[in-house]
Amino acid sequence: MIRRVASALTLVSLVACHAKPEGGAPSSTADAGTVAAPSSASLAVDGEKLVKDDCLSCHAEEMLRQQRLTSAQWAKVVTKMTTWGSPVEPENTSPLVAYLASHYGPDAGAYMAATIAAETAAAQIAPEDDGPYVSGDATRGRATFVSTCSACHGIDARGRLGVNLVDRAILYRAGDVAAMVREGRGRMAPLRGVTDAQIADVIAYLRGLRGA
Amino acid sequence: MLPRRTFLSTSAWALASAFAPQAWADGELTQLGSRPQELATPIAQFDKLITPTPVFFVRSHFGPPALDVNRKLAIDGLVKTPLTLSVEDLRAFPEVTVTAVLQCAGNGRGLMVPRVPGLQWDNGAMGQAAWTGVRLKDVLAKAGVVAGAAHVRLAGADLPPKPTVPAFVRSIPLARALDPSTLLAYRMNGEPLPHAHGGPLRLVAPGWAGDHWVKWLTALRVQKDEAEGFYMQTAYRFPVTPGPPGAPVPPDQMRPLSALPVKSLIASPADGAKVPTGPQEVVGVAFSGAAPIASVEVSVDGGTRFARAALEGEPGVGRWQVFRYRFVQASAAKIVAVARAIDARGNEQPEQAVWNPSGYFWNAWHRVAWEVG
Repeated sequence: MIRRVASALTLVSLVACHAKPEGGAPSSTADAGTVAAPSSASLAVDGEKLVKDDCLSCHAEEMLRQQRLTSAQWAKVVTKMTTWGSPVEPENTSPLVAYLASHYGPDAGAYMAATIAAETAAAQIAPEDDGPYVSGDATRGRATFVSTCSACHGIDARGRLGVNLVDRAILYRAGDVAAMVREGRGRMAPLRGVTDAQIADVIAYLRGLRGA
Repeated sequence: MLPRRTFLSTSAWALASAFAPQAWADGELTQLGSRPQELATPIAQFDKLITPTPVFFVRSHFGPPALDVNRKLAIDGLVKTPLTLSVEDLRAFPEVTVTAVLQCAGNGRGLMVPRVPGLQWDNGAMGQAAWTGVRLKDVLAKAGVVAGAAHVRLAGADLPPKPTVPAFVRSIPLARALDPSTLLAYRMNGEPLPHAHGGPLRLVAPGWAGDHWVKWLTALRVQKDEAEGFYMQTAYRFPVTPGPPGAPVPPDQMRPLSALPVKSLIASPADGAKVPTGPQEVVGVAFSGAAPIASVEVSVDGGTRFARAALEGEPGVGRWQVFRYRFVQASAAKIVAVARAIDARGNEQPEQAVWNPSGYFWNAWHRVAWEVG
């Protein structure tokens, strides 16, 4: 019972993260606590959703796809990641482990990594021109951050349910920030209605924060 | 019946081929991770003394912090005079360039059987560069290390994704910090240290695994004890005594890893290549974190008979040399070449790597097979 309450509270805070998501309530996020149905088809669908919700805020998917681990190894990994802040609900731990072990087990076959041109890789982390996100107002940005972002990212922006936003290279790639905010990532629902000016303001605020 | 050697080398070839049938265009890396970037150097690059910076492997736990060339380094703890230094301030100290191998402790993790969790590097998490900076011992002398100091704690500007994730903090023993090869480096292969490689400032600890080479370095603390935290007390540890593959190792039987074990790797021919009959050349690199390389031996019959390869480049601890072995193959054949290195302290590259729970320090004899004809 206590677990259910904790789960419900998590969902409340998730909904609270985004004041006005386009198209009403973020239903895909609110479904996260659904008990897994026993059929293998629904296990697969739920597994993908669990991976998205509980792994992909911090990891890119290829980190999972390249693993070849037994069920026992996956269980240890999921336990470690839960300790480190993965929001996996207790009742979802076993289905998540089962999904990972069935897709990325020892017999999953060869993993073929992608290749990338060196210039492309360098460009992916290089600062970019601010474009439409130039001249943000840090004071307005702070207000927007507190009302819209801080429930998940922490009032200090150092990460909570969402990830740390302080001293990140991506803050100097405003277009990437805008794309991520509008497309969503992990448990973060897309914020399609956010304006360029709001993004510029929040970026201006976050750039002023320092880590140590 | 096949001789044992032939059987072993054939199965090793099949395993290697199943794992990484990789092909690269010029100037490409393998992308094991996109967020953060985890990039592997193509094996064909390991035929030269210096790995070009654009294709030098990239690895970090949390990705680079915001680019800030004015980041300062704070030095405090058991010192007479705490210092805060910019890269510009470091130019007051004598400048030194050291050519050394940087290898991720987990290079070869993907080759471990049974498999272990983590980035599944095969061979590409290593490279050699010319690192330029100042000696850490000169900077510590200015700060004035006081009695009781035994370790130097190292922290960078890269923050973990959540406060519940341990920060990447390492420490090195004071003796390692005072070694004249240990640098605070701000240039790589003659250019300002790139952001992806820790710019503006990183530690360089030739001979030791990459986890000590802390990037985006902002804090050095001289202290009595080893640093605390996950990345010292749990990760980057190696079994004191090798156990059976797959068996758990009790934590008290693990010690922090440091010096890179002796290793050689064949860059060319590529595994599975086709080469015309006539002159054949096996080329690769060899290094050890304990001593300079003494010799590299190459077999071209799957590991039965070995002959010494020629070495190029300046020998040094934690510095690789290129090895080259030439022979003539007049008729069509499948060649299985094996390389093994020995360092000047007599450490021999083992036929099998030591399996360990985190997949560190893979250094088994490298086998490459190709078709002649």
